[in-house]
Amino acid sequence: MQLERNYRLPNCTLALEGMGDPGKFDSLGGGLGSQAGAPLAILVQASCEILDQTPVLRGGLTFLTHLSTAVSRYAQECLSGVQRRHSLSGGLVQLQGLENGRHRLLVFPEEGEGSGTGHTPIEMELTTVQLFDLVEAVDQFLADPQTLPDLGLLLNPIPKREVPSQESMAQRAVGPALGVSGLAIAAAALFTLPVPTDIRRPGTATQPTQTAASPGPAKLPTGLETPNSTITDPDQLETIQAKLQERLTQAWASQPGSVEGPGFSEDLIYRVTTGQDAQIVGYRALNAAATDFDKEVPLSELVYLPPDGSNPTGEPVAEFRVRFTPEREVKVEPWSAAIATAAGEIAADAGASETPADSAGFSPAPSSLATPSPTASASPAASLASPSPDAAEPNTSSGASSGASSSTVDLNTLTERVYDALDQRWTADPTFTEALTYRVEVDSSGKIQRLAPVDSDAEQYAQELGLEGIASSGGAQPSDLPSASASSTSASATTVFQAIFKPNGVLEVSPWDGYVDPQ
Amino acid sequence: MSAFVSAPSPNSSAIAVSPLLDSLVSIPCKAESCPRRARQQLDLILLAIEALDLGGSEAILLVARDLGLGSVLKNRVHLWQLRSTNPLRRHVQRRPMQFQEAKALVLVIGYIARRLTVLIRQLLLAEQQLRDKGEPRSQNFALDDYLTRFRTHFRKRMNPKRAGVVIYKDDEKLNDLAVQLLKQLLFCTGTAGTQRLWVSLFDGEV
Repeated sequence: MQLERNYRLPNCTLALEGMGDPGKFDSLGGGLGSQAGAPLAILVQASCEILDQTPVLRGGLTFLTHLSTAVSRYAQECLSGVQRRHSLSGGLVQLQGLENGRHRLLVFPEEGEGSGTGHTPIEMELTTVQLFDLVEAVDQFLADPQTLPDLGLLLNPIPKREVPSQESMAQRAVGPALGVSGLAIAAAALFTLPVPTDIRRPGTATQPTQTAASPGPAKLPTGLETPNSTITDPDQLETIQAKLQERLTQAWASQPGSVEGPGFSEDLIYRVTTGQDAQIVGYRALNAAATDFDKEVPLSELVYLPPDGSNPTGEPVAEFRVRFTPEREVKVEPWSAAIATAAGEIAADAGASETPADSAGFSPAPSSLATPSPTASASPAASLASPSPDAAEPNTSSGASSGASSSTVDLNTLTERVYDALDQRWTADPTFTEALTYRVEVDSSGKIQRLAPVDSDAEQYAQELGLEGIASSGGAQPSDLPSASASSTSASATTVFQAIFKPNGVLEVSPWDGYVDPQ
Repeated sequence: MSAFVSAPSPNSSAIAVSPLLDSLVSIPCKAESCPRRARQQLDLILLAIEALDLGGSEAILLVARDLGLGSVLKNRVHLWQLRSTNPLRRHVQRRPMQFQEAKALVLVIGYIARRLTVLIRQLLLAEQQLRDKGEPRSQNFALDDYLTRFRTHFRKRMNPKRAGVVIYKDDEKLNDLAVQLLKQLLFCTGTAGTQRLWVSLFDGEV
């Protein structure tokens, strides 16, 4: 049964032709042909005519649904002013706004349409009123329950995602551009920073010890130690010496408890380093008594502690040997003229670093020891009866004697040889509990000339370590030695090393005077 | 004496109101109250209505009462407050516009627009003809009246320092805005006009 629906508006007429659903029988209608109450369920043809516009748009259900959807969406865009980013793709009907306030309607032919219309779309320009009438016709059709009741008006607001950004591309690009340029500037700025070439751990920088097979890392433990130049001018030394003596005497005299006798019975010997103004920057005890009775002497109070905890940098220092006698006398003499006495005690970090500039050992800052001058290699080495190889050179700046004279490469080779030699002999498990230090003299070919323990403990365990007979002479007692180390024998041929045997089985060999600073 | 209690009258208006308000579908908007653009749009459309019809401002309140929306749009002051939530106003009311209040305004607008259908269509047709001929809009008296009244109201009420108002410093631009609002009013006159207007308020906001 043919059914027809018409939606007439002043500018637009929408006509639908179709049939009712044959499956349903309308009981109200009764009789033949009276299917007026039945809804138009099957569409045969839809035609849309707009006043003053040709041609008439015709099509089937597909055309109708596309038309309805496109028109509805476009109407929403007109109402809100917000346009979708992507219009309906593949739609047969498209609407666009024009500059003159009109709207362009494009209708593409359906697939399989007759060749009459060809493939060019139908184009129409509608005024707003015409457009509105079209919208109204579609709305009325969709709202009609008697016509294609399955189709209804579905309105949804445009989601945020589908709306293009309101900001211009330039504005949006500002953020990322700023970020990238900031990164570039920071990278350029940091590029100018120097790459650190010498990376050390703090605290161990002052020990140029050599373990295993690696030839010494750097030349000089520059870490925490700052090379200080030694004062050599005799006049200056004399002035400083006098000041120091006076200062020490005064301090000792004014010390509480000085009324009674001092508690010690032998001389306390210290190696004291002072600055130019006789201010004590550090001191080291050279004999056992000195360590024990450290409290009795005013050295600790007089020590000048630099605020940043490290040695005052670059300041010239002078070194003296100070003796505190039981008769409450203080005797000061310059170190270069003093003998290397056996203090019987050597600090574990006995890596003497030899440079023209040295600083004292026993200062609050963890600096390395220093050999003052090549002469009396500050060795508390007891066995130093024989001349020290690097002796008898009052000129500290020469520093080029013995060990120092050997180039670093040779030094490393020698060190390795000494290490190997000692390592081979040490086969027993260590039974001692403290590090044992030995002074080893080798000739230029690496052959050990003599080996001497530094303290009594070292002497005790020398046998265990397989050091007996390793060299010509054994060790001597740790006792005071006469000041005989001034003479130097084949100085240039002998190199002195320090060997430390540790209870954990580690052997460390390093030059006695440390590595030469290539400054 | 019958123990017969009738329901109190204030409730009845509330019951009558809700179906009408429910006819507008609720929008799944994340915000608690109406977005900025919605408030602005509603105020401008009401402005256009006032410019169209001399009795416009009074009509709004009357229609609200007729539709049973008197509980939502309480009185003139309340209506003014709602309209002043438009961020372009000189004295912006910093209060939110609730969804119910917006719905009520949309219903009122649809009702009034339908009443003014003929006038709106006439003005739009005239405008289109003048534009096609290239003649100025002032040729048509009715159109000119509408435009002048719209401009006056706009300049009086809107804050000229606002960026959204500065773009309308030029009279021609303001005329274009007035015509655009007229077109939007036309869409409100349709069978699904109120629905369309309500949904369009949230375009790009959800």
